[in-house]
Amino acid sequence: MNLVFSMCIVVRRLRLVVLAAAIVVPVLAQAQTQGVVVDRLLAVVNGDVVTLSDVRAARRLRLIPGAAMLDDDGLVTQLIERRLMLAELAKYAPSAPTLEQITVRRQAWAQSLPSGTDVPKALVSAGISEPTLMAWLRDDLRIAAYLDQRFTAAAQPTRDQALTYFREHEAEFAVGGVTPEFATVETEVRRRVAASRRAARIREWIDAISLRAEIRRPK
Amino acid sequence: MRVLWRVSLSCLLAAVVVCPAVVALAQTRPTAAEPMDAIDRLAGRVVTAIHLDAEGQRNDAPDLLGLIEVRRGQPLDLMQLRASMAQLFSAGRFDNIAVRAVESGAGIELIFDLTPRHVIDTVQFVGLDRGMAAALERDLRTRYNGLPRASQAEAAARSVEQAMADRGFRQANVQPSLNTTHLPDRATLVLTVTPGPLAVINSAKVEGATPLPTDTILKRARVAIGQPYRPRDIDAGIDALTEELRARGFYETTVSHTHDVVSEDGRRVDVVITVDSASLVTVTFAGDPLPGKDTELVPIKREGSADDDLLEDSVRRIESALRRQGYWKGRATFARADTPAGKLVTITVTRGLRYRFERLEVIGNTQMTTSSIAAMLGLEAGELFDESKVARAVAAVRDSYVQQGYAAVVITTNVDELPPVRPDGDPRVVERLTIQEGVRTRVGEITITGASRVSNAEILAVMRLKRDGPFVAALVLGERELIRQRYDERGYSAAVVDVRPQLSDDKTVATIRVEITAEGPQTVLDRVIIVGNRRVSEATIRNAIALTPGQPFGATQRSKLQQQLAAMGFFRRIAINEAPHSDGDAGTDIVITVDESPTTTISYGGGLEADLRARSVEGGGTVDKFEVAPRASFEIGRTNLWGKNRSVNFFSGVSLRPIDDAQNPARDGKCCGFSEYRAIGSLREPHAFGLNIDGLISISAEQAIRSNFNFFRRDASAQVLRRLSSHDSVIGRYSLERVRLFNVRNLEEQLLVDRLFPRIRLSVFSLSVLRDTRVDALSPTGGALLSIDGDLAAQAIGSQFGFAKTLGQAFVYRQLPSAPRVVLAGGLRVGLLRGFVRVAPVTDENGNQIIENGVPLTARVEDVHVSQRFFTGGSNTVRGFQQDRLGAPDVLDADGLSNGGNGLMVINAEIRTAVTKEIGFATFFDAGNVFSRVHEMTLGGLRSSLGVGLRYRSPLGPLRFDLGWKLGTLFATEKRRWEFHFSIGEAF
Repeated sequence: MNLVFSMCIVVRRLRLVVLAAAIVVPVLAQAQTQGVVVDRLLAVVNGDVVTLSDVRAARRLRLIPGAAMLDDDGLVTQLIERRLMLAELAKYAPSAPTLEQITVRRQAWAQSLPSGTDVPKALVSAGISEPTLMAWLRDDLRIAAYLDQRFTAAAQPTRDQALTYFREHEAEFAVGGVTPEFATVETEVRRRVAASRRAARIREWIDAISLRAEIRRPK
Repeated sequence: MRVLWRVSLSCLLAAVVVCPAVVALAQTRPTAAEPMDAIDRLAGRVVTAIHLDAEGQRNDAPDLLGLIEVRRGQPLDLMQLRASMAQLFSAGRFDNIAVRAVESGAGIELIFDLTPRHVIDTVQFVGLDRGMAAALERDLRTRYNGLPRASQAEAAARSVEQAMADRGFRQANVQPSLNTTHLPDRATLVLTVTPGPLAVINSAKVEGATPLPTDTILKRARVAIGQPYRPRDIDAGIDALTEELRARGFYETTVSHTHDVVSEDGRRVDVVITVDSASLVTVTFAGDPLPGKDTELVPIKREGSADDDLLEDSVRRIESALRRQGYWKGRATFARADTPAGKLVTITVTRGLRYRFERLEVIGNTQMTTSSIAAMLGLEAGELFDESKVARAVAAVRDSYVQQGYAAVVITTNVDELPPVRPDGDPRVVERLTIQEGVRTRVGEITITGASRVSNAEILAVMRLKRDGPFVAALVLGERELIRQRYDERGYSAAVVDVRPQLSDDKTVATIRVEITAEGPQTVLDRVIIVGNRRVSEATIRNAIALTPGQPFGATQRSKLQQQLAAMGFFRRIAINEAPHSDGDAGTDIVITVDESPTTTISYGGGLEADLRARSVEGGGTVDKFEVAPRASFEIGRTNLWGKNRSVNFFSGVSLRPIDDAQNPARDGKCCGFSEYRAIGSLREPHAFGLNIDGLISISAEQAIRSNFNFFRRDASAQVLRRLSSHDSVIGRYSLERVRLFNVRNLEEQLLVDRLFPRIRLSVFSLSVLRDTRVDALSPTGGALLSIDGDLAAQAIGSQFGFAKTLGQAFVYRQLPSAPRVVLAGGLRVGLLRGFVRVAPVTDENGNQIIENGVPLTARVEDVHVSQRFFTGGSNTVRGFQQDRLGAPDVLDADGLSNGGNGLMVINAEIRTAVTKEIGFATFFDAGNVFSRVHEMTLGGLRSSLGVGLRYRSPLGPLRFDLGWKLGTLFATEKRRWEFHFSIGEAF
């Protein structure tokens, strides 16, 4: 009787093992035979491709501001917008940054990486060569120069606009529950208004050039 | 026992469940992305194999594998992998690409999963009748300039919904889907249409003031109650109505139907036509007569508008016309007035006195002579004074000074009036130019900074500003572009160039600073990858484009490459993509993706030919009969033979005409027979023998009718063409032909050579030189066509008799600058022919040699065979005469039919005036003749004709109707003075 009981337990366990195997083995088998996706197309911008490796490199090397905080989809959007801006820049050919400026930018970039990062190793693991990195940083500077030239001056607010902003956001300037006089914080107000207006105008510009572009995200 | 049964069952269950898993191990299917660390683990592993899978099928096409930079046997490099993806995509054949790495022993296999791009080549409408589907497809093709791409399927469906709404189906629903096919990868766009109810016009009314009755407005706008509501038709009707109202003088009319009200269920529409006709505008002229046609000077009717801008332009136009006629102080003004009948526009012209030019006086000129300035002015003493000529001359003089470095030159004009020489004469004008030349600025030092990739000497060579030469400020911008272009030719497309002049304090020296702000990276060509070619061999394409690795590659080379590929004529789509190297070096690969055009073309046509044809009559002689003959043609061609740039073509044409039987009047001209036909087969090979020449081999057989005889000709020829430039070419040709004459109408007057050689073999070498600068070869408006052809045949090269023949042709076309619609065309054709003497056996009617007194009869022949002699008269030569019926008295037979001659001269002059885009008129003068011998050719011996013609640019080509009128005395054989011709294309 005990034997029969034991056999029943064995059979039940065997059933469980079989069921677990039925679920796990095909998954493992499939993964092994189908392999690992090492790269794929994520977007096409005016015929130019954005790939999984671009996203991976942007995240690992922090090539896009806030890359670490963005998911793949957000990074693809950032990369698409960068391509659009560069295409727009090509039409106006702003003056190229000097080698010195690029070198300074590279140093700043290297410092933005986690301490102790082996830069050459990081580049290899991200699939980026040193010249490609320098070209990327050069483009960063070109974009920044273009945005400054086109949007920074135009975004400066008048005194009335700054005052209006201050009144609408008084709480943000309060110190210890006391709202300061406008005159004392005018510089900071102006800076915030200008930054906000600049960002809004850049956003409008990017939206406009996106509408003119052919952007496709393969499923 | 029961336990054992359970154990067995469990084992069976295990087998059933686990086996598929084991089977799955052997399969390879796409998957989702793995975590990033998996890629890290694979990077650096040796790649043991690379495969391409297109839609799950293995397709290791060598041309595609050639695009992959990752190499087998090498460690996986992510940079190379990314570049491979970019290059595969740039081939333009895939919509999606993913790369999988599958572990394989010690290394990994890379599998590129490709999703082919399925180009939509067909559209199919489901749920519509054939007529509606065809109309919607036309709309779709117009909107997308062809068919939409697969990615545009959704947008295409929405545009079809809009098109349906325009046709009254306001609730139409269109769902797109793609039916893909393979090998080749194509797709059919299936648009499933649910039309919904057709909206019907429930009511219609007209709002606003209108000079037309409501019924008429609705009728014109194509609005009828109870009929389907089709906005597009209503729009077309409204456009026509607006035109009509404007033509009646209501120039400010606007008509719309934007206030139509659609019922909630979308089935009924209340149409509201809003007409704002404003007032009737009447234009009157007061004062002196207009200096030209009112329709040209005040084009209110043509423009359908009477706004202030148009009236101001009209007034300026009138004043300009007055000044051209010498009314130097002529003025025109316009005024508006409201009248009970509408608005009245009065244009008042005040001509004033007419002035004549007396002389030019120039003060202050040291660098230009007064006579050279006077030549620029182009006015002679006593000529009507045209102030616009003075303005043009002043501009030309100023430009001349500027080109010499006098940038600050100031020219002022003064006019002195002199009284008339005679009391009834016109007052005179002395034009006085005062020139303050200022200082001459010369180019001083030219400094160049920042140039290392292009030498300073080279930059100086491309610049037009030269040291110590005149400084012309207008050239500075151009210099920047020239230098940038030189950089681009060297592959430095991103070079930034700045050129700035700096003037010395006394402005006599301009220092030019050329600053190369950035030279940028050089693009050097590495690999040229050609994909998409199926029939055209890669070698043929490479020969045509002649790109070499290592050469710089910039926009200049790219543009040239595009032109070279297009010139091959094999491709309907060409894409050139640059794939820069992944390691950031200067090298770039060029991926040329081509989509081949269909290689076989078939065309056919038909038409009617009408002309007057001489027919034999009982009792001898001929009479002209008007005959109509249907014609048909068929052509088939195949290009790109054997992967080379060769093409083969076959053309055949036939005409069903009344029977030609000159010796049997009862049968001659009766219906019907194929008396004219032609068949030509040809093989063309551009760059024949690897040289810069085009080769053509052709074989033809034809039977044709002439005014006096018919002939059958078989011909084989080989031709080579060398293009010296885009306008100039040289053609060499050899032909071997056999000609048989038959149906000769006047045997008695047939030349001895034609009687001796009713069948003849000719072996001819020809050389032609051609210069064609015509603008629009079909209906030239400018340029010239010059050609000279020489033929040489001799017994030594296989001919049955020898001759030398030359035909020179020159046609010139000029558009009148003052009247661009008028084109002057002139032509001259001169032909010279001389036969080489030979002794030929005399034969009887059956071709047997005649023997007299035991001696074979022979004759000395110097004339040239009729197949080579010149003929003229007809629609393309001298239009007062019938086809080939013009000739000196000894060239024509008793019936006025030409035997042809050895000398030809034709002169043409024609004025072609376009009235509208489609319709035009021509007046022409033609003179010409055919002479029996070259030495008999004289200008006095030419026959001439005058005529008028109508031109119509039809969809088939330019149609021409000409009526020519013979000048001078008629020959007895000429029955009428006029001839009518109908043809396609200009006469010359």
